[in-house]
Amino acid sequence: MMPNEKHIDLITGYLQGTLSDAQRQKFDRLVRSGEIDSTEVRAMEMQFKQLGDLPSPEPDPAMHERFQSMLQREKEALPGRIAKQQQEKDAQPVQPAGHKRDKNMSQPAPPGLQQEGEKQGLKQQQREKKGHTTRIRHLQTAAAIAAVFLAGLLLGSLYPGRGTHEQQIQQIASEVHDLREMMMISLLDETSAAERLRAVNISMDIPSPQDRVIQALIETLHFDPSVNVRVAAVDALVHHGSHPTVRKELVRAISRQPSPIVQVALADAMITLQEPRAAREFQKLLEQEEMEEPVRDKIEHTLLALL
Amino acid sequence: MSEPTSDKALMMQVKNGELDALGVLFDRYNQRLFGFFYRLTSRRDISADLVQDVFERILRYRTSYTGNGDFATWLFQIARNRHADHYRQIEKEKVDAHTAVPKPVLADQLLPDSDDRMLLEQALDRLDPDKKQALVLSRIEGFLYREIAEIMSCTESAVKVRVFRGLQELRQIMSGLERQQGRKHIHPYNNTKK
Repeated sequence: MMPNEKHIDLITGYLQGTLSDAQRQKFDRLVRSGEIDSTEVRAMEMQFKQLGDLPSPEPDPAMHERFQSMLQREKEALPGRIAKQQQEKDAQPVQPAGHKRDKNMSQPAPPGLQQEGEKQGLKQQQREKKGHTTRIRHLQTAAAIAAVFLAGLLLGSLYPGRGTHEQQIQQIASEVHDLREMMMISLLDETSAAERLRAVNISMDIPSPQDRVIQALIETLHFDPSVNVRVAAVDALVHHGSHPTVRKELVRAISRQPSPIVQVALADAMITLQEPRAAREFQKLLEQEEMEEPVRDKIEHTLLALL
Repeated sequence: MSEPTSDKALMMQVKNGELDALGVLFDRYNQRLFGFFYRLTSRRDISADLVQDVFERILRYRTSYTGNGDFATWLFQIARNRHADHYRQIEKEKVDAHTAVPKPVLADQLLPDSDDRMLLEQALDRLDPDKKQALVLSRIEGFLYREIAEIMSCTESAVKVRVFRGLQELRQIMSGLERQQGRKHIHPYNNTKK
C-alpha cells in the first residue's frame, strides 16, 4: 500500500527532519494507528538516505583554471567599460517631460536588446511623440478646467444660496474628473491607434481613477491590436500600480502577450513595481523554446532582479 | 580569527566592481554546483560547462543583484535556469535527429563500487526533471522545501509533492531495472547490504 498523499506534509517533513514537536506527535499517532503505513514510510526514508549517500563528484582542476581566465578577462575589460558607460552617460540628452518609465528602470537593457534597432526605434519614436502630445494635452486639459471653473464661478454668483463656495469648487472638480474619464474611455473605442494612444496617455493624468478606467486600461493591455498602445497601457498601469487589480493583471499579461516588445515593457514594469509574483510567470516564459535571444536575456535579467 | 565574509557581502563587492570577490564565491560553491549539474546530466563535461556558464551569468548580470533573500538560493535559481536551457537544447536535438541522444552514462559514471548505487543513479537519471531536481536539491544539496520552492519558482506544497512522488517513482523504476537486469528485488527497508 502506498502512503496516503493526504499526509504528504507530515511525511516529507519527517524525511527532512523539520517536523515541529506537535507535528511529530501527530505523525507518530498516525503511524501507530496505521493510517500512515510505517513500512512504506521507512522504505521511503531509506531511499531518501541512499540519495544523500551518493558520492559527490570532484570537478577537474581545468574548471577552476577556466573560471580564473574568464575572471581575468573581465577584470581587464572593466576599466574600459566603466569609461565607456561614463561617456555614454555624459552624452545622454535630457529626457523629455513625458518620459516616465525609464527613470524608474533599475538596470540598463542587456546589450543584445540594443540590436533590436527597428523595434526599439519605433518605441523611442512613440515615447518622443508621447512627450509632445503630453504637453499639448496638458494645455488642452488646463483650458477645459479653466472654462468649467469660470462657468462654475459664474453660476455660483448667480445662485449664491445653493451651497458654499468650497462645495461648488469640489463639485466642479468632480465633474471635470468624470468628463476626463469618459473622454478617455470613449477615445479607447476609436479605430485610430493614435487616438487610443492619446486615451491611454490621458489616463495618466487622472489622479485617482475609478475602476472603469483601470478596467479599460486592462482590456487595452490584453486585447488592443496595436503593440504601441499595449506598451503605453503597461506604462499607464504602472502609474496606477497602487490599485489592487493592476499588479495581478500585469502579472497575468506576461504569459499572454505574444509581442516581445510588450514582454520587455512588462519586464521593466515588474522591476519598477518589484512584484515577486511575476517571477513564476517569467520562468514559464523562459521555458518556451521560441524566444529571441535578446528578449530571453532581458527576461533572465528581470528574473534575477526580482529574486 | 576573523569571521569569513558572508556570501551576500562578497556578491555586493562583485556588484560594485570588486571582481576578485567572485573568486571566493567560486571556491565556496563550484563543487556543489558541479555536483548538482552532474546529478541532473550524468556528464562531467557538461556539468563543468554549466558551472562556468553560471558564473559568467553572475558577472554579466551582477548589477541586477539586490541582496534580497539567500545567496545560495539565488545562485541555484540561476543554475536551474541554465540547466533548463541545456535540457531544452538536448530535447530540440532529439527532435531534430528523430532519435534519442545516447547518454554515455556508463563511460562517465563514478566508480561503480556498488550495484545498488549504480541502480539508484540509473533510476534517478530516468526520473522526470522536476522530481529529480526537487530530490537533488532537498537531499543532496540540503535545501529546505521553502528554499527549493524559491529556486524552482513554485509553491512549497508542490515541492513536497515532487519529493514524495519522486521517491515513489524512484522505487518503481529501480524495481523495473532490477527485473530487466535479472536481479532479485530487494525492498529498501530490508536491504541489509548497505
